[in-house]
Amino acid sequence: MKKSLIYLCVVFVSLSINNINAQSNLKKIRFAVHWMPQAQFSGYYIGVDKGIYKKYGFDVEIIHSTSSVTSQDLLLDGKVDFASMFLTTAMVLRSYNAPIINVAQLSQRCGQVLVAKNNKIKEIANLNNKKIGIWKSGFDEILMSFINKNKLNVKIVLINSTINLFLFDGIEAMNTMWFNEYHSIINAGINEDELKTFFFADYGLDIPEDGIYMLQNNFDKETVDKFIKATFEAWNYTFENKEEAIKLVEIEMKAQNIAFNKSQQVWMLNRLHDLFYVKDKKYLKGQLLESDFENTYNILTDLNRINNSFNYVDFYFGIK
Amino acid sequence: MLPKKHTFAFRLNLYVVSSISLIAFIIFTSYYFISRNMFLDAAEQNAKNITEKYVNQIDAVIGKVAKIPFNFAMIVENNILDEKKLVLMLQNIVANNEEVYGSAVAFEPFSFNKDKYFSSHYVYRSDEKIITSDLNDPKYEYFYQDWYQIPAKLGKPVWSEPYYDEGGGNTLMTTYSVPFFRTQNGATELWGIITIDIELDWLDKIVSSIQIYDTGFAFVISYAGTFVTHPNRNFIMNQTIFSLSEEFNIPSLRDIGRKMIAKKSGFEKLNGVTIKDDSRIYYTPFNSNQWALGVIFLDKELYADLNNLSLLIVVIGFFGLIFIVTTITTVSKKLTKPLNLFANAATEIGSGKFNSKLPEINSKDEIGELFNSFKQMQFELNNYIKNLKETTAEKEKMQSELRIAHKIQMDMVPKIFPPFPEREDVDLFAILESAKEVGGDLYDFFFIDDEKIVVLVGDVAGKGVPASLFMAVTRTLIRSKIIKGITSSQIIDQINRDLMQNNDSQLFVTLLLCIIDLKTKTMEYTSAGHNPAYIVSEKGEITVLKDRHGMALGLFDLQPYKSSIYQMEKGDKFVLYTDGVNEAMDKDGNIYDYFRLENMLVKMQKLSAKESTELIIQDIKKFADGAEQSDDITLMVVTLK
Repeated sequence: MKKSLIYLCVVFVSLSINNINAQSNLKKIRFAVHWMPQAQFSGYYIGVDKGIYKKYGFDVEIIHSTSSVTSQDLLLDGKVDFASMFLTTAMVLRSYNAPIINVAQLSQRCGQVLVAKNNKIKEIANLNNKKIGIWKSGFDEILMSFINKNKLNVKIVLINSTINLFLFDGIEAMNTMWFNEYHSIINAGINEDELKTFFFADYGLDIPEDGIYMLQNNFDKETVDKFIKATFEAWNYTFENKEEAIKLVEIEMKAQNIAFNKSQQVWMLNRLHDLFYVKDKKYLKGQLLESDFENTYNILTDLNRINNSFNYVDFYFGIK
Repeated sequence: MLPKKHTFAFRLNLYVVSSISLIAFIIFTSYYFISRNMFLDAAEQNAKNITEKYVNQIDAVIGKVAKIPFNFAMIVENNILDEKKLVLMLQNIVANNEEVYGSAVAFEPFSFNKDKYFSSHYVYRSDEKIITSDLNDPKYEYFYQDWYQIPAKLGKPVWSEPYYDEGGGNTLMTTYSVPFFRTQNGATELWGIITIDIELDWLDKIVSSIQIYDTGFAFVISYAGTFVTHPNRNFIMNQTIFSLSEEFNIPSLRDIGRKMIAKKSGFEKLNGVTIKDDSRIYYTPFNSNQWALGVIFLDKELYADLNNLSLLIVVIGFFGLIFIVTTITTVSKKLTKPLNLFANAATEIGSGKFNSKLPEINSKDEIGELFNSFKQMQFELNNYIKNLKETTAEKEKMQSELRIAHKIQMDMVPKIFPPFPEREDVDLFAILESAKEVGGDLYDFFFIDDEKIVVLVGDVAGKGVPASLFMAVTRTLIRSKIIKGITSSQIIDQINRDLMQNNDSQLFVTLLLCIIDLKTKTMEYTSAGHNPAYIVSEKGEITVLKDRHGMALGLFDLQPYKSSIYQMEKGDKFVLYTDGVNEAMDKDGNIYDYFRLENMLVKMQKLSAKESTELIIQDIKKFADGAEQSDDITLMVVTLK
């Protein structure tokens, strides 16, 4: 009898809280992700679609960036509350005094890989005097560091976003995301055994990538903690319900008239899982390790990308 | 309907139907697989013809429009044109070529106008109007667009991967980009790119119209394997042939896709986990660009006519077999009906009704022959049975007579034992067991006077009635010769002479004749070719009376028989026998032999004559162990007291 009463009370209180949430206007959060719709952001789609953010009191709106309007632009312009970004991108910005801070590091491993056709490129030295394609939109730090470290003399060819120049043999090698362009090449009929790959993580350039950022002035620990917790819950659900997540990706992509290819998106989600959960690395979920920060900082310093120095404590506000 | 097992009809059906089925199966299988290959070859040829026809059609369109930027490039390279002329030429291209949606000319940075980084013009069609524009938006940065960058880097014309037009319409486009060059300071360098955009509606219409069999379809893929046309609209631009292979787990599709983008032609089988029905693909490349056309059709449709025809053949074959079974059954029954009647008749005849009526057969075939044979058999059987009855009657009569003869023969030898109960000086016992009903052995004993007793054992050669008659004659002759004082040799001589007379049958008899004086215990004996007799003393000593005094009786009169004298003792046992004793055989043909006989003799010293006789007879029977008796057995024991 007593237990029943307690149960009833709990139910009543829960219902009341839900009502309050519904009525008392969820906290509006605008979240910019750093590329067009794809499985790379499926965790956020799930967070919204499955009401996970709502459960934590947020009404999250996901805003996709484009090649012309980036997520950092949106964040710095104050158009969004949070933005996903590459660690290198964010740290370069920070060195130019952009007031951004890292509140969670999702990817823990470098997902970039230099891909070449192995009929011409069999080892690093073969890259000398070759044309290497790299995105015009950025993400070039790791590749440049790799080139410097191996003292390579290469011709950099800036490319937009397709792999076609590589397919047509206009360039000998191309910087790719393992979870994306690498698989696009496979899906264009080139077999894996016809490719020579250089995973930068294997060459001492294992720096983490996707993280969540915000303006330092807007930092509110309680809100941030809740948002990050909700985000990880959403990602967990995503990795456990991949089919469901891929369906949401399909909806998002088709809404923006972007070609949806299921096998490509499934590949991306699976590789993302590999990047988020690295087996032989000790870290807390969402943590930016100071060693990773230092490693990245040094790489960027070597490339002369750091304008003003800053330290880990000022940059990272996430779980420690 | 079906005949019962083991009937003639059943077996005939079994052999015929199984043979026909086997042959039909082999013929059908050969026919089916040869036809399949023919159908497959025809399908390949058909697919090849169709695809080549359409590829030529498509190539004609593409080839025609591909000349436009080429010509334009030559003009730009060889003439000094200002912007107005360039725009006018672009406008003419779009206005005069309905296949061309838009056309652009774009120059390298600062190369057309040394002050301008971007220098381009773009003319396109919109709602029946010709719009003139440029691509100089700094955000667009045309140098990095595939349509510019790829031909620029390769230095040769390139058809772009298909794309949707930027206007938001759902029109699929491709751009053909031709680089043009200029000579600066003696060196040839890239100056810019000329493009034409082509809507791909017409391509889709052409390819969609291709139909092979019922549901076969065609598709086009680009250089990167992207579907440019496909009946499933979702595949267009979203899937490559390779991603489809991965998503639907059809590994063969990947290999085919690679051959397609490598500009190869082929005809192959498509199979995979998610493809329910086997299908075929024929693929061939376009000549004018790096795309390829494929046609896919289902095996079941390819083989539909063949399968229908095969089904018809199987059905006809099935009913044909039923017809054959029915015919065979009916004919067999008709043919074998007389056989059944014959079988019944034979059963009746078998049961003894030899005059049973045979089925009426008038045919001259095998059944007719059978009827004749039956008729003959019936006749022969009747005769045979008649003869058999007579023979049997005769045989029975003869056997009856033989039984009587046997009785007479047995009556001839004394069978009352003890024969001389009043005498205390002699004990005598004898047995004659015939091998056949009438035998040729004999024994006899009688007193000549008060003291002298004659004992004899004989064996006529042969058995049966002749032997027994000869034996009777011999016995009678012996008895007739007995006079007081006569010796054994005299008796034998006389008998021999008597038997020789009129002995056309050349019968003869061995004989051991002894005259024992019971008072003096002196024995005189004559052996006419007979087995040696034994004397067994009271102590068990055995003496063999080996003396032979001549040949068997009835054949020759060579010289007079003599006799021997043997002095017996009180208690001696005199054992006489015929060769039926020592030549008794067991089942394996082993002979009883003297050795075994003598072993028995030792055991009989304290037995009476009867007991002694029976002891030996039982031992012989034990030895024979049920084997048929081959000769008469005669044994006599005389004990002197």
